[in-house]
Amino acid sequence: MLDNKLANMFLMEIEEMIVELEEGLVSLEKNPLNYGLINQIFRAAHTIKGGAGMAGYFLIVDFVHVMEDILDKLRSKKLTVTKEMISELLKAVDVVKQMKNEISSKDSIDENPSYQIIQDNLKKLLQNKEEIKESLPEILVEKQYEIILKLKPDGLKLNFDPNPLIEEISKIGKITSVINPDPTLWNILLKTKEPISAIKNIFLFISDDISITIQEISGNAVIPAKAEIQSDSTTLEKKAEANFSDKKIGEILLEEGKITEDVLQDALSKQVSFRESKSSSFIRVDTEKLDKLVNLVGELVTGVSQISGAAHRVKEKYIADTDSDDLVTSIESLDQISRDLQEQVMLVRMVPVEFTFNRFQRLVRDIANELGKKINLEMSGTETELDKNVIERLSDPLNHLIRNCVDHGIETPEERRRFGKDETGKIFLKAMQKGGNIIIEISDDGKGINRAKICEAARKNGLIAGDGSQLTDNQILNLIFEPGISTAEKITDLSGRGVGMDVVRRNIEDLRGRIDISSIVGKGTTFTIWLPLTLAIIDGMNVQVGTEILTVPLLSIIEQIRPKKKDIKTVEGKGELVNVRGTYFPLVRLHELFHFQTDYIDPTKALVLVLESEGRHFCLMVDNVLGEQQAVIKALDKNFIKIDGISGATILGDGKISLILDIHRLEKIAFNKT
Amino acid sequence: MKDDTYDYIDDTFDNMVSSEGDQYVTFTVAEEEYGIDILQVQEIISYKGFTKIPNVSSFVKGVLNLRGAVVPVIDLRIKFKMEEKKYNKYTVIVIVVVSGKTMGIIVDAVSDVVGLNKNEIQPTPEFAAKINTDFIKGMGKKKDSFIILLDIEKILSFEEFQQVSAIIK
Repeated sequence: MLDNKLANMFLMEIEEMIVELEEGLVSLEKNPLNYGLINQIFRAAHTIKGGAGMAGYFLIVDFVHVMEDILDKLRSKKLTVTKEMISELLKAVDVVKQMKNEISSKDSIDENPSYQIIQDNLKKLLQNKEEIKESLPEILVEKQYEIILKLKPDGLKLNFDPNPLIEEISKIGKITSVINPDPTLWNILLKTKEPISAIKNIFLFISDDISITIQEISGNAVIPAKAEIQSDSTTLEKKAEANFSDKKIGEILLEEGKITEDVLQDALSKQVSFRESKSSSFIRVDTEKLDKLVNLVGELVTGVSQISGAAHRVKEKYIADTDSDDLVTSIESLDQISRDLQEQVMLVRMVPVEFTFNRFQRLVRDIANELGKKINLEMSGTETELDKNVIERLSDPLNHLIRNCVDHGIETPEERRRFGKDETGKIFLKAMQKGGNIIIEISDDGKGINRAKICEAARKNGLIAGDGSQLTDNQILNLIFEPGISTAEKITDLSGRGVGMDVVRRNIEDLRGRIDISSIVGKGTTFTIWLPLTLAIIDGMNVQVGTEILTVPLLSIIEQIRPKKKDIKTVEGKGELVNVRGTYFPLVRLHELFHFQTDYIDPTKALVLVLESEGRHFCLMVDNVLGEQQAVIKALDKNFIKIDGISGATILGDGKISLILDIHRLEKIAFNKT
Repeated sequence: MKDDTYDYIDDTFDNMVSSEGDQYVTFTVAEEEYGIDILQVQEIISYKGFTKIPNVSSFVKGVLNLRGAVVPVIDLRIKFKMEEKKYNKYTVIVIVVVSGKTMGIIVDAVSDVVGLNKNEIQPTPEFAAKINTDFIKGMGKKKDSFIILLDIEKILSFEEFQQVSAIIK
């Protein structure tokens, strides 16, 4: 039991650490001298090792240990970052991932010869006694600094003694001179290889009454790089991360009576609280608990709105009674509170897209290397938040679109040079919120989409007749979302078989979103995805068929019309078509499809909704439209079974249940497709 | 010593249960008395209307809102191919939990809770008439009453619902 708990905790932790490793390594490749980053990667590897040891997965311990060795040597500058090394380390991360998957599926790891190969490769890297290039910024040539300490006018009573400080300064370099022209001024000259930040760190505990100026001097000329010391929390934070023994200064200052015990403890606790605030600002919550919470709050909202309805009826009955006024006002404020509560609870499920987006750095790097292309993935709006369920299901379609950008969109460096473009291609991944929607844009500055090729492929597949000249540009571009269309000249491992874009669109429509494309030849292609903020709530239109009320997702509704007699045509006496401003769309009678009884059988008396599913339009006949509603979706198969054409149920204001239509499936049922 | 004490308690508990037998909630459908194991019954509610579900077996009358849960309801009269009866405010729905799913069964009226010992239950006999006895666990006899004990899991077999929905596809 305990083992299981440990294993579960480990699995949860390792997932994050793997992501951190992967992201860290990919960005390390771009900034090989970022030692902060190396430290971060090292810590991630170390955490994995520690967790694996605790949970008893020693294969992982052994494996990560070698990675850690390399990272440690990088950290201590005994090795330098190479492209090969990053590739090997990333492969090693993949092994750890695989091991993790094995653990979660069968709680043990099998020996695998390929693990050994990768481990051996890592060990080879370790033995590479490559000399470190001399251009590392950390190993600077010796520089001279002038440090000026000046007591402020009222600082004299501090009885300031600079000697402990001078001693501390001498530890990081050579003090060439100390001039003390008057009791409030010290002028220290220091020769050191350490960066200016190291000097600043010494003065963190100095009181505000002393002004400190550090200047770099080359020869006798003073370089205008001035640095005032600030004793605010940001410097403390840097201090906390730096490798200097902060306590020591604190202790010295304390011994010398320069600061009181309280001040020292305060400063130290600031550091500690800074560290703590970073680690305790998040808690892990089982998503099942969240779902329950969302459900309960949804019920609360319906419950309150039912009471509110009853209260209004009571008020109408006893209109003269002031108590009934009080009842209505207090219930209305309760109603507002419960809605606010619902909104807040929904927010709990939201997570930033950052983590999903960051994973694509690795994808782009790997494919670009494989294809010999140079590509930068740039991101913005990564703080945009989306329902966790949406994000999880968005990962696959995004993956596919980005693969497409890398594979088909961006040209090879030679091609790009020929077109006068920067050798390095760019892919932008952008997220933003607009109203109740999240918009995600994937764009590249590649070659754009060749319309003629799409038309040719569509003609071959029998999707269009003729050369496509009768279609609008937008219609042509949208053909790439049809099954079997590919414009790739050669089929690669990654894409080009023409399967995929139709799946991408279906995945996004399953999330009740939609995808658009725009493309300029020679300039690039942009895919825009609209998504609802959450899957738990749907904007719906309530419609009536006979005695039943059904909910149609608002996103699928193009418009609602009441057709005139002349707008309805039949084919072979049965197939009904409705003329919607010049285009004929097939008519589906919902009551026939669902076998519901209704008096509305004449389309000119009933209402017709024009719906869109996967780019196809059709008309759905209902009795009447009742109005819009934000519906909390409940799964039908929780207590029952899935019903074809129904995506779920929702509870109406009066407590009745309304079924939510699955327009995508409805279209398939109506037109006899499976 | 300690173990003996527990054995003693266990024995007493067993005796208590066996003296009362298993408990059944009994109800009437078309003047016949039926019984369901009380452990499977969650609650009993009155009829307040349903929402129809398209394209399912006719005995699935629809879904109702049970404190926010969407619960399907079946009519035993239709299931047993008996004459249908109009629902009114005295129509009762027995809410049962079958393999983790909550469902409602429409019955004419709920009568009682009875305890039946093993010797008060006789196995399902064969019938001359062509009726489905698959979902009958046995027959309970107590004094004058004769109770048909239902195997609720078999009545609410999800395969049956699914078969219907497969036909539509």
